[in-house]
Amino acid sequence: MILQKIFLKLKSPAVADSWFMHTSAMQYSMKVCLTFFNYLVPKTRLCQRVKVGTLGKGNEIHPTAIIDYERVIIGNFCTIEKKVVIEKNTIIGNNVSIGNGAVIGSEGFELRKIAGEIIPVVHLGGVIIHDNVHIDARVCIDKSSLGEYTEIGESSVIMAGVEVGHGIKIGQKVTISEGSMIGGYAKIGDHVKIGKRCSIADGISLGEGVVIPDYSVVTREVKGHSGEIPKGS
Amino acid sequence: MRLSEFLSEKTEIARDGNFSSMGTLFSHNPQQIVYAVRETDVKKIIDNSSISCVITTPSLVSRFPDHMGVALAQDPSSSFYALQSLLSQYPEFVLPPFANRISSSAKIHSSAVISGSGVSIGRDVVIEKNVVIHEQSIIEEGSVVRSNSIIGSSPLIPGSAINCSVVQPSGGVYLHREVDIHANTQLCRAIFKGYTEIGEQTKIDNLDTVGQGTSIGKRCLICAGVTIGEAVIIGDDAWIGPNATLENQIRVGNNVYITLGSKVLHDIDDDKVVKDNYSIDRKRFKKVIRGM
Repeated sequence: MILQKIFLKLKSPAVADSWFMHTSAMQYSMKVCLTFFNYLVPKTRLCQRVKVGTLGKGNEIHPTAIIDYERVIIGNFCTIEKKVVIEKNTIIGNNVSIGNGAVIGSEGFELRKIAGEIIPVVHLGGVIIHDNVHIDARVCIDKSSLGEYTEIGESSVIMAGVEVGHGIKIGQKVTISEGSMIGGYAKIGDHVKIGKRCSIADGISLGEGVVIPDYSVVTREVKGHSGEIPKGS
Repeated sequence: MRLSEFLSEKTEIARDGNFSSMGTLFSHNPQQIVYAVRETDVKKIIDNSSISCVITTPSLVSRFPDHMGVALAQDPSSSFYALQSLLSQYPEFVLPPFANRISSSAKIHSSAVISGSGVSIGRDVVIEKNVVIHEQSIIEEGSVVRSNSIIGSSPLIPGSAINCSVVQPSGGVYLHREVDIHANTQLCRAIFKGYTEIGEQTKIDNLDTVGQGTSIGKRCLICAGVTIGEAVIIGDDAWIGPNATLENQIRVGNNVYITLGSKVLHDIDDDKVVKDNYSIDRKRFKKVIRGM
């Protein structure tokens, strides 16, 4: 999309740190553009991906779960437990289970500091959860910005209290243990195992079959089949 | 009020003194009583002119000046909270109750649970699904509280000496203008007469926990999974990365950048970068990174 290319260009350090962007006129015009974008674009139907919601057969949905049925697609044989919140533009496959208090498709954490004020970027994307995924209690999965999707691959397991940031692409058969935080726009390959309370920086990629031990801090790219990375950062 | 009138059998009076409020190392209530456990707390107490009484361990007694009232306890924090549960019965130690003030332009989802009294919600506030708001919570205009968050929950007191259910929090939570609280976040009420404060335009991400009596400055960004201890003071424009942990009763300066997964155990000055356990100057850090 053109919008996404413009946003990525503006975010890159070569442009964001240049003196030209810090001139008061440029800062002011950026502020006006962003507030205009935040106000106008959510009201149009441009980025509304899921236009009609559907609900499959054989689902077990607890009555306290809050689901925006008009904009959510749910497959067959899913289990959705108590107090789960599923926001609009979410697509859920077959045989998915979602634990108590999980929040799927809430607003991402993307903010811009312009002219001494913090302005949020309104998120327009959604979340795709593929077949046979198990999501435990209190997991937060944010939606992606600009009409893209946060994706969780087939047969993945996400344990309790995990934060999956906006725009993340998770591959197949991935295990993410309790309390891990994954920053925005990270790419996680197939068969990756992430230990307990790991912190993974935004925008990095983990290759296929990487195993990350408990309490690790990952700030750089890890290529596939490189074995374990050392404990600590 | 005299110190000797209120303390229990587990504490011993070294020097008697007067106090009229309870507080933390950084607060400025008139004539406040605080507790001290660490060596580093002593200097902060001497610097803070509004502290008049201290509850502390026997090893630290000789370090305090003569004008302060000092009480001894093996576990100062638990006897301090036992004193709080006694004092919460007096009206001058509790925030005054008020009827709910909810603006008509606020968007509140039907599944949100809001306390029957003592909640103030300003203009254009958005409160999403399953949010719980306890009493003595003030939310100013333009703030957003997202799904499954809890505002003003009662804090649990560390230590086994007292029963947790006895402590009645007498403070509240104050969210200033345009604060954004994301999903599954928990903000604790202040135990003392005062507020857990979140400054203007501060944004707090998913799954965070903010302890009692903490004060966060303006325009701070706090990422997911951060645990902030009790009575922490955070300056303006700070950035706190995912999974960071902040110790109780510390001060974090303005413009501080705490990297992901760090644990902060001591005070941080202005313009510092914190990496794991260490902090260095932010300008120097940038130079080193550019030189690589």
